[in-house]
Amino acid sequence: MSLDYSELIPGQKISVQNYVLDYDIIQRYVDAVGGHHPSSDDTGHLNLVPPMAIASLWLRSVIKELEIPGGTLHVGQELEFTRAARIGDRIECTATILQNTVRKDIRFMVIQLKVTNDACQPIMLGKGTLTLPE
Amino acid sequence: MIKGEYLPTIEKVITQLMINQYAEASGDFNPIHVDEQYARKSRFGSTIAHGMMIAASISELMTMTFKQDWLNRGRLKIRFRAPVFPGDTVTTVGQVRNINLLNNKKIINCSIEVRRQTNEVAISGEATVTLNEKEK
Repeated sequence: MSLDYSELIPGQKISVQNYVLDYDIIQRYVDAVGGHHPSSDDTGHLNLVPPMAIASLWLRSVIKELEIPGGTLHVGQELEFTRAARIGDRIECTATILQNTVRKDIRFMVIQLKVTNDACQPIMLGKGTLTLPE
Repeated sequence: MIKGEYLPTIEKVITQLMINQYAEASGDFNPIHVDEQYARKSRFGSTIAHGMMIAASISELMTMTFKQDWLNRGRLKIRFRAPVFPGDTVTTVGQVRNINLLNNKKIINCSIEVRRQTNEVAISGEATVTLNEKEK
């Protein structure tokens, strides 16, 4: 069953997902982006997780819950990092609809991002803009 | 750090293997990224990299430059302007635009761009970081 995107309303929570930031998850991400694993970083950031790895986990839950169709484009992203995350941390990623409009046969969806740690402290906030074919 | 100063540059060659690995890591298997047959018929004529995969270089650049200040007090605002294709070489550049003081802390605002080898801008935006060190 596919989602009726027109029924999504601002303020609606579309996803709450929990992840453990284990070494393998982060290593897979680092391999994919051609970067450096934080634990092998020579800048002293031992065991710190690249914040964009966390953003990609948030996006993963959005894609899963919204059953994002082919032809969808990610056109903009805002992120605010408020606390570094470490390997082994448990996080909760929440996605909430901020805006859902259609212009010229393209649906614009703005989705709020919130990531908190085990202590319910925010570690990342932001919003992403997707365009979906109508 | 002074206004106008350039941040270190990061250059990467993007491959389909990296795109496939990012699809696995992010769970984003949109066919425009991973299905060459589907992508050939799209307006791009080829698969394209995930925007957030390319944007990772921006955060890498800011982490290299500002270390934990970026991880604890960084802000990023970007627009994905043009697709990046497998085989592209992308270069991530940043320049300090403004340095302000708020509550005795330095706030550094940088313009950021990721360019393809054709000089086309794939991602543009700004990155802001608040330094923990107090202004003497």
